[in-house]
This record gives sequence, C-alpha cells and structure tokens, in this order.
Amino acid sequence: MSLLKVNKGVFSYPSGEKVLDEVCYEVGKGELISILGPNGAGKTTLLKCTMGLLGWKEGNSTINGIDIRKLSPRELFSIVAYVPQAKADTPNYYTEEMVLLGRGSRIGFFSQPTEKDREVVLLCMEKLGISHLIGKRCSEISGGELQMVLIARALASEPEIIVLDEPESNLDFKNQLMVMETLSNLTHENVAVLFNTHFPAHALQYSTKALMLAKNGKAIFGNVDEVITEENIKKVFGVNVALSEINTINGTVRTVVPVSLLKGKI
Amino acid sequence: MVIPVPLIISSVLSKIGIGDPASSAIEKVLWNIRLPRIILASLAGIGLSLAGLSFQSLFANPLATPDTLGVASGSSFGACLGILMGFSLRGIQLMALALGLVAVSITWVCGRQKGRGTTTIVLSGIIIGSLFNALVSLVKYVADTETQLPSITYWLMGSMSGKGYSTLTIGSPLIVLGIVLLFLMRWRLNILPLSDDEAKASGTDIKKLRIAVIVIATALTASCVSMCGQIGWVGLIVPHICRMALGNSHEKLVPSSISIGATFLVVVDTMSRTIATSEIPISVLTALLGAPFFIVLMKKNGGWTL
Repeated sequence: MSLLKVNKGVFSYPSGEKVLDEVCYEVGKGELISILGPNGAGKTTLLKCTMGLLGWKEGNSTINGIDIRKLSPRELFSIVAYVPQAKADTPNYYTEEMVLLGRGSRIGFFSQPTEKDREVVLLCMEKLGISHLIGKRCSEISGGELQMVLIARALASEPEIIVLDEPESNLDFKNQLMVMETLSNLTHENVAVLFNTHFPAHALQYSTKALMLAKNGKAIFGNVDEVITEENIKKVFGVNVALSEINTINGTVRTVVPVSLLKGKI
Repeated sequence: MVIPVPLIISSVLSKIGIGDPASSAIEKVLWNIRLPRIILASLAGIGLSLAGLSFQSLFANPLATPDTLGVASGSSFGACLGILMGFSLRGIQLMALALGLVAVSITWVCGRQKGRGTTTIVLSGIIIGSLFNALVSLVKYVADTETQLPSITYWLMGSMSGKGYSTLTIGSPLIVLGIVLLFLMRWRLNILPLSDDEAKASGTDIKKLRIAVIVIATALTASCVSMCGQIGWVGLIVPHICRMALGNSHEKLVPSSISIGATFLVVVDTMSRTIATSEIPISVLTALLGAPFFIVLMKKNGGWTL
C-alpha cells in the first residue's frame, strides 16, 4: 500500500473555476516526487490540498489508507511535515528556536519541550550541516541558510513524508545543489519527499516519479522518464525544449534546455 | 509617610511571631494601604505586559498593544458606562471585559488581511480606539457633573491610590488565571507569529489557540482597566525590552515580561506618589519615563523585528 495517495482530487475556487481536476497520484516510502507546472497552474494549491491545509471539493487524500480528514492535526502532522516557500518576513526567532517549532505535533498544548526535543533539534541541524547557525537570528542568515533551517524544522517532527513548496527557488547553484542533495539523502532514510519545482532538470536528476500539472487542472503522473518528455513539456508549458544527456565529471546527467516559444502562443 | 526599611522588616517578622509589631498607625499603612497597592501595581504591570506581548505575537506586529488595538479604549468605555449606570465594581469589570472584547473583535474583523505582520490591523485598531474614545467623551458629556463626572475623569487617568483589598478581589482572580494560562502555554505561543499554513502544519489548532489568546489578553486588559483605569505604554515597552534582550521565544518572553512588568509598574507607581507633594497620575509617568527609555533602547538595538 502506498504511504500517501490522492484519489481524484478536485479543487475549484468559489467562482467555480476548476484549478485541479481529478488529480490522482501516490507517494511510496522513500520516494522523491517532483511536481512541475507553469506559473499559476496550482502547484502550491495541489500540495496544500494533498495535506489538508486546503479542502478537496471532491476526492480525497489518504495516508496508509486512512482519509486524512479522519486524522487529528496532531496525528496528521506528525506523519507529514511541510516546508513553505522561504520568505523574508519569517518570524525572527533564533534558528534553533525555529527548528524546535517542528516538534509542535509531538509536544502537548500546555507542555514545554524536553531535553529529548532539544536533542532532536541539534541532531537535525547537524545532519543538514547548519550547526554553525545556532545562536543566529533568522533575520541574520542568507536565503539558502533559511531554507535549510526550514527543512531542519520539518525534519525535527520526524516525519514519514516531507512536503516542500519550491525549496530551491531563489537560490544560487551551490545552495540549489545543497537542498537537492539533502532531499535526496532523506529518501535513503525512507522519508518520502514531495516537492514543487520550476526546474525540470532537478526532477530528471533526482526524482523517481513526477507529476506535471497543466493549466486546465489535469495532471500527468508517472515515472520521471514517462512524464518529463519533450512532447509533454511542449503541451503543458507551451515551449519547445531539448532533452539531452551531457557528460560530466560525475557521469552522464540528463537535463532539459528551453529552446523556443511555440509559435502563436506569445 | 516614609517608613524606614528596618521598621518594615521588624513588622514582617512580627507577623511570623518574631519580635513586636510597630505602632498601630505604621502597621495599618503598611499592611492595609501599601501592601495592596504594591500587589495591585504588580498585577496590573504583569497583566498589561502579558496582554501587550500576546497581541504583538498574535498579529505578528510590534505595534499591536492593548492601546493600539482599541482594547483599552473599549474597556474604558465599558467601565465608564458602568459608572454612569451606577453599577457595582463587579458590574463595571464585566462591562469593561465585554466592551474590550467587542472592540478587539471589530478591530480584528476590519483589519484582518492575508499574510502576517500587516499594518492594517493597527490602523484599524487606532480607528476603533478613537471611536470608543468618542463614546467615552459622550458618556462624560451626559454624566452628572457633581458626582459621576469627577469619578470618571479621575478613574480614566489611571491610579493605584486608595485601592484596598476590595479592589484587588475584583480584578486579580482573572489576572492570576490569565498569567497561569499564558505561562503554561508559553512554548505554544511561539506558533502565533507563523503564517496560517505553517501554524497548522505544526499540528496546532491555530483557530482555537488564537481565540484563547485573544480572550486571555483582553481579559487581562479589562481587569487592569477596571481596577486602576487606563495606564498606557506598559504593554508596548515591557515586551519590547524583553524582546530586545532575549529574542522572540515566548519560553523566555513570558517569564521575563512577568518580572519586568511587575517591577516596572511598582517602581513607576512609587515614583508617582513620592517625587511631588501631590500624586502624579501614573499614565503621565509611564509615558514620560517610557518614551525616552524606549527610544534609547530602540536606537541601540533596532528592536522592531518580531
């Protein structure tokens, strides 16, 4: 049985416009799944609906076969962790305080964090290589570092699935690689990773499966090779791309290069 | 009256059976006038500080305080109305609480916007505050000039004097309850400034938490207002002093706001009755002391981030 499954999920705005139309996909243990789609296609909405932050109009999400609406927020979010887009107006906590907030679903309402909670925080920060940020405020660190802090916060809840909204946007090459390597490493520990991205190359390079979301709300889901094809990208994004393998010091890497706009689509 | 420290110590010792009590006049001043006044100032200091702290975090806005959100004005209007209608002290407190909640609810509904740290909440609070201040003026206008008006006016200025244990029993149970609740949920309060989705994803029922905090903070404000009138600034200055020194985690902010809040208002109240021959209204002093102190701290640390 798959860990997380979305069954014919439909979401529409009160105006009636369908954003997501009978979307189906599933996430297994330790899988890395990327969600691609043009701006405004509803990638963030899809993530939010998937983990119950927004409600499906029709269809549902299940975790281990149980409808997530039957789970309490506490139960749900000790299995699923969410990393929002890193924004500049994040509350100005010290980084270790921010990471500790990830323990929220495991600490009682009137309780204080225990020594064990604080140990988990230190371990998570160490694992992501951000121990040097301890004692710094979130306003004092770079965008890439903040993204790592937010990932550490998600890890601190010891989740089985981690959901990230464009984790590598707005980052330079090095930070992009750091984030992607981190996510890839997580899957080796049997954590499932589900993330939105604007980089088909990242999906090709790291993920096992992909979901491509078109503007009409329809989704194509399957193995990366089957989903990220020149034909599909042309259809969904309206651009001509070239998919190719290039030789690098780390062996062959598959990548995508945008080539031109489709005629009559400008 | 100045009571020397040794005399205070011996009087305290006599209460537990060591030595003899001081003269009856001193005993009376010490235990029936000074002590309740100190307790009142401490509780009001804590209440206003914690209310300010809660509102700042709730709205992720450093300027959100009982004063700027219109809560204090709403409570004042409620209390004035209570005086006008000749209610008992208990009735006055209930009126202050009810109208405080009404004011903050209107502010919330009018000023709510997507995203965190929006300025509209304070803008809306200022408008609602001035609306309720206008209503206070209206109450003063129709109040009986011989009896009600002086008591309303005096009460509005805020004062700790002439309040015995009977006043304390009005507001202190709610204040103590509020302090205990906020202290117990101090770590959970850290969820408040997060965005909605992040807050939900921490496994917290964010709606319930917000409602709980808004009710507690309003009850704290209303209880303070009903006991000693409108005392401004405390809810802004004290939490910010703590934030600048210790960061934004409520694990530290709640205990430190309690101790700094109590100390601050006891010190200011003591000054208000000692630096001149007649007592200076306490809200005048909190502003006179608070503003420059705050400006210095702010310039030094740039303490506006939340």
